[in-house]
Amino acid sequence: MSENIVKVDSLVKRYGENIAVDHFSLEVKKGEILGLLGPNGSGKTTTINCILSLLNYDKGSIEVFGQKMSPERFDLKRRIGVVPQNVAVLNALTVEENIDFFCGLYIKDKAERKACIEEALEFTGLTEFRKQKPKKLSGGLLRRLNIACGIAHKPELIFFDEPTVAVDPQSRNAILEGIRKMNEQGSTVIYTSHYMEEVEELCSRIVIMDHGKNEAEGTSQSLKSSLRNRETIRINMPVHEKELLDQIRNINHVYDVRIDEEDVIIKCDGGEHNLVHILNFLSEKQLPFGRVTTELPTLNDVFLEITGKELRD
Amino acid sequence: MFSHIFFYQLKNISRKFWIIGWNLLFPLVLATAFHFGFGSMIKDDPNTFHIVPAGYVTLGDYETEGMQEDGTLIHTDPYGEMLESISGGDEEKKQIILLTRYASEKEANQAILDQEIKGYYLNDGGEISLKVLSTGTDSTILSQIMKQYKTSRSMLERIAKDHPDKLSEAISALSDQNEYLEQHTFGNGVSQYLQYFFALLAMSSLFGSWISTEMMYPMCANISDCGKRFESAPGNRIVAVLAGTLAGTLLQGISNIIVVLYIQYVLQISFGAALVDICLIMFLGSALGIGFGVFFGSVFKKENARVMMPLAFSMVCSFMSGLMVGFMKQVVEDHVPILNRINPASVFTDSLYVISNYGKTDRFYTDVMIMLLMIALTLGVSACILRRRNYASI
Amino acid sequence: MPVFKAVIKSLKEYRSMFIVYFMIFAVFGPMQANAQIGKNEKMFSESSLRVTVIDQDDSELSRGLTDYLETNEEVEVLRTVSDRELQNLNDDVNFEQKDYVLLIDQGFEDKLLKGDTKDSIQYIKNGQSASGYLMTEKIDTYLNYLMVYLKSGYDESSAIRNTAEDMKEADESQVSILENPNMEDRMSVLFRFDAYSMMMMLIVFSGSLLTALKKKDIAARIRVGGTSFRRRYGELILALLTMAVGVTVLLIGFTVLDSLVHGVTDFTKLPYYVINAFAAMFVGIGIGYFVSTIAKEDTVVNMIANMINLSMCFLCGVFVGLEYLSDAVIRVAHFMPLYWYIMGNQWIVSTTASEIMSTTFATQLGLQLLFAAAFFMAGLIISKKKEVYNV
Repeated sequence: MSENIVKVDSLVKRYGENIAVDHFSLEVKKGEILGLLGPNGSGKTTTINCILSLLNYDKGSIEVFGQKMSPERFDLKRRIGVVPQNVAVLNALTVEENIDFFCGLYIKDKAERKACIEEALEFTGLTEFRKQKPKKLSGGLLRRLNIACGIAHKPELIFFDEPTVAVDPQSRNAILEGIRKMNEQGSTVIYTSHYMEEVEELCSRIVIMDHGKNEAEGTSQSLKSSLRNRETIRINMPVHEKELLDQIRNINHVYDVRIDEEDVIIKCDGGEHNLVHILNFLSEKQLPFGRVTTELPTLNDVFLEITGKELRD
Repeated sequence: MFSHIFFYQLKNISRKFWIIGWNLLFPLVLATAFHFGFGSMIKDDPNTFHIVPAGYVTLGDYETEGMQEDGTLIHTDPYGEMLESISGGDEEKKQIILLTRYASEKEANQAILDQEIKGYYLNDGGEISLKVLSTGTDSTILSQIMKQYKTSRSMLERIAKDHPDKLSEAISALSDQNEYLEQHTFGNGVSQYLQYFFALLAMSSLFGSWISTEMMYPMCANISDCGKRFESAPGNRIVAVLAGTLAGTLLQGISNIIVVLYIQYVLQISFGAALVDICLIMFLGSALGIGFGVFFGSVFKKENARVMMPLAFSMVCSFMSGLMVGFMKQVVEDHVPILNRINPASVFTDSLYVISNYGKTDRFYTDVMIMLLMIALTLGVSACILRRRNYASI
Repeated sequence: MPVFKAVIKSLKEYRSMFIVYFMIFAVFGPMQANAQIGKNEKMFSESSLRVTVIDQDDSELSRGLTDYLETNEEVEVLRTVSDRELQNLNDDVNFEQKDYVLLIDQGFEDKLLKGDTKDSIQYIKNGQSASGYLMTEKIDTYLNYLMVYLKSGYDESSAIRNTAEDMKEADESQVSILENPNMEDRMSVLFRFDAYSMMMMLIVFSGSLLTALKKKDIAARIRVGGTSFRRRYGELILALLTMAVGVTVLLIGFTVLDSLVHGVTDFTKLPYYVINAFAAMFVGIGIGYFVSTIAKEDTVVNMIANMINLSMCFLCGVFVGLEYLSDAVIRVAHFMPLYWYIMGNQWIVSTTASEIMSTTFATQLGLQLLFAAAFFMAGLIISKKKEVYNV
């Protein structure tokens, strides 16, 4: 069984009357990419800052690498890398100097550090921009620099706090690919985001967070399996009589039918070939229909079911 | 880690154009302005001798002194003669005025208004009076001439009455005007105008507080994202701040020394003390500014406060040390002396003033000790604040 | 009027800066006024000098000299001083807390009678002080006359008495002053000093506000907002004027208040000072506007503003009177707007109220407005060009 790299137990953090993190618990196994998914203001960044000992907290405990985390634990901090939400680089230094500066906080040996910098530049595709200052870089390149500064020292545990915000799709894909590679090389990753597609694509395990609470946890598959809704079928149909809708509702595995403008939305809780059964029914009744789409449940559906609101609300 | 942060902070700070501009360029510009404004007065006495244009009008009869053989009165104008004797354009002969005679008061009044003369004497049958356009040094010189004449006259009249045999000797003695007084100097003889330059250097040293707020910016998690990254990393924060402080002090010190060298060698204004001593005081002043900046940087989080506080602090302290109103420091010394001991600008300017005027006296060493204490205190308090390893909110 | 409202609301951020510069004016302005008025009175012996006599000789002649000085000056007599105390006295003189120090060493009388007083009588005066210079002249004159009496056969006490009488009689000489120009009163000193704080605030506020609006994204957002260039800048200018008038009025208000508190009752010249101040106000806005076209951040605005303002204040006679500046500097100062403000101030001081409004005053005001317009136009042109080229 993989050891726990990070263990958070009943963490509570208050800002005055506001409870930002509410008895939040989390375990991160070695080698996994854990996604921390939640809308803005759900407490993701606060949790990360508590784990990093940047913020004090009111209750609970935090262990990293099996040991209690505190600000003076330099031995633990040396094994951690941080890629913060906002670009955190020094504008007066060049790309290379920035990476060297932050890497130098972890690695004292110059030769070793030089090798790390070269690797980080190559890894993030910044080699040709090494002499440029951050102000001259595009948004995507800046994000890459932000990452390079956080991973140059080859940490065992890396925190990515919404690294793809305001980034073009090409750079975004490059970033996600890079994170995958780092994980393959042995780093454990904690990835926070409010983009479910990224989390689904990247993370081996996902924690859904809202109002400072751990609302759900598991793999993407297991989270979706926990939903009643396994398939959503949308059919463009002109006929919306109540009797017809009731008949559709009686089809096996259909548990919900509703109208959305000219479409009928049918939700099925499991079963196979639901679409075939429904289309056969419509054909038997000689009912015309137009475009048909079928969707498998998403994490947004998971979130919606748990919290009653959309991930992006 | 110390050297790593030291060198990178040197790079980080020295590449910020506005810091270099502010901390180096501004004092150079202001020093040049001072030099053009009153630099010549540092070398010369502002009260150097210059000839005053004056007028002379006689009304009524001249004084009479005796009678000629034919019975007509001998009219003389001793005052006019005296004025003629000190009139001319030759400084070497110590001519004091340039005399012009006018036929009437009206003409003389007009000459004053036209600024041809500074004033005119009116001799109304022996009664001498003076009319001047306005108060001022020249008017007072003219007044002094008149007073001296009257004093000499009453003196000679008295001597003629009491000791007539000594009269000729007295007249001879009167014409030999000795200068009995000498100016007391304290050895170095530096000009009081140098005080403005001292206050300027104090201000520029305190501007170093901007360097340290800038230095602190990427190292505190409650101020910037860079700070969050920095504090997530291993390493003693106090050591990091000390490294940054040293880098800032070095930069500010170099900047100050450039200004000192500029004043001494380009503007040709001597500080009246060994350059090495002045440079060491500059470094001390730089550390003072940096120390206060670290203090502000550790206390204030908001960007606006980080810009305003060093500026306000520097300007107020500089004002109190006499940058704008030259005597301010002494007024404070006379009424609330403790303020001068806690105002870093005042302590700094005082150390320069003392070493320039009096050399390395007890007072000088006291100033140095106070500055060292201030540096230790600001850094110590900052260390206590910064020791707080995590935050309630960032 | 969105641009107008946004600019006015943004002023809140500069509260602390306003307080700092206002306090500088409120504290140091009156101090300067008190000192200046005192200095003026001493120039023509209208008031006594503060003289310290250190009489280590304590002879009849030294006491005679001290007694003579006491007839007209505020004299403090000390018998001995330590080196430190002497330094303190020197500092007092340097920083105008005392006017003159006379050191009479032991043996002065003997040396004087022999005709050589080298190293036995010395003085300390402020290099800038004309009254100090004249005090030296006065004492030298006294000693010269004293020596004449002594050489003419008078004994010491008679010589002392006669010399004092002669000089006292001469001191009562009639001197009339045709006019009393350039003798600054309290209000004129305050309006002079006001130039620093007012300029500082106007340049920094307008510069910073405009710089904020010029930030790339904000400026782009405003540009695509649908209002014309003319309308946008019209609102902006109105907002700046509102701010500037507010600042100027507050500073003038303080000046009036301070004058009232200090017993000034004659305010006939106040309207002219106010007009002059408003002319300078436009200069401040103009420079601020121009600075904003070169600076991109508040810190750079502050830096440039301080550089320009402090240098100008020193060179144009705000802190150091024009009478102390060299001719060359004054010639150069003609090309600075603040010089004309100071000249306007001096004109008001030296002219009777009914004659102030004249070609001279109009020229001084006009030149200030011309400078303001020049800065304004330069800034406007640069802004427009930048907008066209999307820089």
